[in-house]
Amino acid sequence: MKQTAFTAGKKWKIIGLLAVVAAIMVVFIRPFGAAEHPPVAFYYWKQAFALDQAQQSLLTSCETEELFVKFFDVTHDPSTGAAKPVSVITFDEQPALQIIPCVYIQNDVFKHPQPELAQKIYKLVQRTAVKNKLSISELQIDCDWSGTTRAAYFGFLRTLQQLDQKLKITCTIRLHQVKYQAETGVPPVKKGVLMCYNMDDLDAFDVENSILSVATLKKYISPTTDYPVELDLALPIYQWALVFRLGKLTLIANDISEKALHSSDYAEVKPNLFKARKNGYLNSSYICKGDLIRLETSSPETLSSIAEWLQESDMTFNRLILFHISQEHISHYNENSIQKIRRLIP
Amino acid sequence: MKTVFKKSVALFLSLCIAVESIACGGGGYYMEYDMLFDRNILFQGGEKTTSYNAWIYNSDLYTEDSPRIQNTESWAAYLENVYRKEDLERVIYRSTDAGFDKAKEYKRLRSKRMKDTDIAKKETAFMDFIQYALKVEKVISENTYDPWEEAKELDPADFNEHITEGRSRLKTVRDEFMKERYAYQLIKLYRYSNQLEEAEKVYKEYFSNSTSLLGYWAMEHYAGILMKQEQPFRANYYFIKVYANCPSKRESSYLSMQLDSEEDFKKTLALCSETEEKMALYYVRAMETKALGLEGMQAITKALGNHEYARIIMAHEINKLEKGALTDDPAESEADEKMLAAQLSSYRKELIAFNEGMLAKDDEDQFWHLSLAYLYYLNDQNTQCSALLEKINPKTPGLQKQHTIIFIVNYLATRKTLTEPDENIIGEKLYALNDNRASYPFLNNEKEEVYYDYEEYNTINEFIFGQIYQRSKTKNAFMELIFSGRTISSILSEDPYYDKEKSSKQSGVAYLDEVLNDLHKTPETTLSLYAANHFFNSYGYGRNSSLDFDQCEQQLKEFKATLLMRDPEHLQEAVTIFSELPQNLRGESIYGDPFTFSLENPNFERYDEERYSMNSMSKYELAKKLNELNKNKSTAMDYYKLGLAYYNTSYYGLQWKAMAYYRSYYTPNGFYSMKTAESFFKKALAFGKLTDEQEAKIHFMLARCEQNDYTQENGEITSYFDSNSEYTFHTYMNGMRSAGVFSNFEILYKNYRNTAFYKELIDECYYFSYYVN
Repeated sequence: MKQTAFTAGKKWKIIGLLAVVAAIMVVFIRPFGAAEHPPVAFYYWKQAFALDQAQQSLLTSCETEELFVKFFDVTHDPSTGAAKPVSVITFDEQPALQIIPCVYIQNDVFKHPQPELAQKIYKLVQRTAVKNKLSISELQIDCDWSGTTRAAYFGFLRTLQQLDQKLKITCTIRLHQVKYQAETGVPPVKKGVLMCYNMDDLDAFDVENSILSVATLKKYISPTTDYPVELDLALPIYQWALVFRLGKLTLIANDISEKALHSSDYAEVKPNLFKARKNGYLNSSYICKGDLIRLETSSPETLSSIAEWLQESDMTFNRLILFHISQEHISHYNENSIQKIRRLIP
Repeated sequence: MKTVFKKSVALFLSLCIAVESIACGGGGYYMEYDMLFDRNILFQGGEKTTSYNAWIYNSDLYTEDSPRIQNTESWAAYLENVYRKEDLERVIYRSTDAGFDKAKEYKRLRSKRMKDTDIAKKETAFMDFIQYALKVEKVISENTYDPWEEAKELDPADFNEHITEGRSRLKTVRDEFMKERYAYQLIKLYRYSNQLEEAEKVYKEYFSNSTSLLGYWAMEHYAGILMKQEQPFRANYYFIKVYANCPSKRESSYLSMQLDSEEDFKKTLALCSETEEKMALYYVRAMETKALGLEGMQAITKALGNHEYARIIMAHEINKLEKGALTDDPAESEADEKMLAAQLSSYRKELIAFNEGMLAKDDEDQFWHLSLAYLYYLNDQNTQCSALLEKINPKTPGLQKQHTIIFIVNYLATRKTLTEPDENIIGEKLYALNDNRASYPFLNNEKEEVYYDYEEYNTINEFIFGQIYQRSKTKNAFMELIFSGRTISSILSEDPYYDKEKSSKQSGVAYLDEVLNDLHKTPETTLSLYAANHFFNSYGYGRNSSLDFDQCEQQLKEFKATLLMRDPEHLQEAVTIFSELPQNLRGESIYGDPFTFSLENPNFERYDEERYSMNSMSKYELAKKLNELNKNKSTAMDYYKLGLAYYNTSYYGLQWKAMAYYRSYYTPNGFYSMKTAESFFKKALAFGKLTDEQEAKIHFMLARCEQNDYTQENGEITSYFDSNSEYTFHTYMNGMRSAGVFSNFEILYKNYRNTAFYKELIDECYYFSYYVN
């Protein structure tokens, strides 16, 4: 009996303690969590930096403080074997936001010895920042590394971090790199960004939307999915038209509106699928008679579903970064739609 | 799904990055086409097919007109052919940094004279000009910026001195040839110093009506200036003139055009006055990697008849059709599949109608017969295809090869299964394609390193062999292997990181047993022998040129014995297999002694050069030695020697050929695991009774093993760091230190400092010396 009484008393103590902890959580953590959903940032992916009215307005309404701007790409030059920077950004105006430079590196670059690549990239980023009076505290590297390039790429990331301990080196992580992390490895960075788009096979004609698909996301992220590196989340807000010619995906026409396809030059075969009636240009893409064009968008509704599914997982995200603000069609997104997605981000 | 995702990401990213390869149209990525209709053999001289696009193709078609050759020829003519072109070329094309001593060069050149014609004035003019042109090249090159470095502000003063000199020389030279040369240099100087209006003035004054070589070269600069001045249609117009009239600048003018919209095309077309120019414009647009070229082909043949432009476009269009028709990538939905099939069928029929029209006008050109025959094949009109093939007797070996390829695929298309006579017919045809050798020399090298990390197109071997295997009555692992379209060397060269599962399956002993077992059940026909020879003969270590199945079996056994030798537990099996093989198949000669220690890092290049002066043994002899030592090991030194042998025959040792067939310079492959060597070294230490010197060496070998393990995970230091950079070297070494990779260095440092080996190590091993210091 004594034993039982003691146990019961202990139980009450524990329950009491738990109640206090719960109360603290309710008072402090819960409201904090409710009010502080991840901040919203955007990618800017064009070569000349200048924001128009619509872009400015979206940034203001989302209270965006950070803009991830692609500074340049690094490609492999087959003629010399060396890596070279291409499409280096120019700033036509001074950004008012905190700029986070991004550098896309073609995976092929790491298949060849690249002496001093980290130094070269670091210097070019710094030079571009200084030239444009930008203060930078983070550098994001985008590379879809593979088994053959993993070691070189990870080594590169380590060196880059060593070059400037104050600069936070982050990198992009694809969904397959989360699911197959044992095979692909985890990059040696303190923070990554999970790219939650381009989920399906672009080449497949019968895919409805290769940019976003909740069903596909579920194949990569399950409720128990976890990743050993702190993550931001990148979601898409772009759209494009995939052109199938002679049975194969032939080109991607960026920034195509539905309106452009609802003209007499195209017949709508089924929702979001159009057939070209004659040869001609669609933006700067030459379209041939008979081409089948699949319009793919990132609708706010699908984005909400994606965010809802991510809530089910064990993953949490520090920032929401939308890819990308440099398209014409951001008008589909307004403060409300973005806030709705933001509130769903775990 | 993983591959699918990777593909989509790769393609997406390829569109995000700046695409420099295609000048016309809305950007793009490399498109690989299947090419059973092979332009390499249809158009003699049209080499290099792997990254098909118009300019690479054209450039190769017109290689004889390279700028260098054309320029040298024009100088040779100016100098009245007193000199050979090669001698002039050496004077003209040289490094701008190399000193140019005019008097010496003049003397040297004159010693090469072939005739006594008095051209002293022209020779002096030539030398003066080369001296000047080298200075111009130097200033331009100094002002061309390194993309990694900051763009330098142009200082006109750098250029002006040369401009003044050029102007002065232009006034003094009398003949038109030299005037054009100096004027051309002036245009370059003005253009690259951003004095565009001055450049334009010089062009108009000296070249506006010129049709000389230099006239077109100057025109290209003028077009570039117009583009910079935001006059794209006029710029395109001059570029197309250069493209049509100046083969040596065809590639660069093609790349510089901007045809991104209907407006670009139409307004440029409106400026063209000559038919050739208009047709060249149609051709350029039709050859844009992803466009459909029928419209261009129709316009060209209407204006120019059976022109080469039209034949090249047709080959291009067929290659694109092949991509869709021969790749088995059906959509899941039937309705979608029908829609895509209709798309292909519709264009195929349009091409057939066009081709029939061409033949109706000109029945002589065998190209149009072959293209039509192949289109009939693609359109399942096999009878028409056969009839057309029978009608022509190919005039050239290239056309004959194309004829044979179409015959084979059409023959296969009409049969669900192959009878023995069928197999013999196809086997004979395959042999005939290659002078009775079981290989496809003209099909080799088609599959260069793919741009992204996935494969998305068939090689011709894979397609034809795949078609044959589908129809074969015998289906087993051996047949599947030899009809895979691949070769034994391509399987052995596979990067182990790429697809470990596939790689280990195809190189595993169990798989080889299955193949060997099935080989015995496979009938020998001309065809299966052809395929077997194709598969085994590329195994480039001086094998027999014509193998029967017994010899194929022996080769497979040699392969199996090699794999078995990697595992000490299976050495006896390896020895038995080797002993049953004929003398010439008992494995590659292994040079040097793998049982010895060397402190020096292996130098594979030097080893390759010097190996013939070393003692050698066959793999069989090595297997026997290893086996004997392994069976009778009774001392620590026996374990040590086994460890050395397994280390030296691994990827990291000079005798790697004992256990593998190919060594990659970039990624560890073949027999790269350190486990066996490590295990023997540890056992040697555990056995004891070793001197300190011996123990120190073993710890050093263990240090090598653990460092190799580390580099397998983290990359070789030299693969991405500049070894001259102390900073990055330091970073790398720190990474190793934190990963605990220096445990044996630590033991050496703590316990063996008094050994002679330690002192030697400090002197010889940079890593160790760095670690200690």
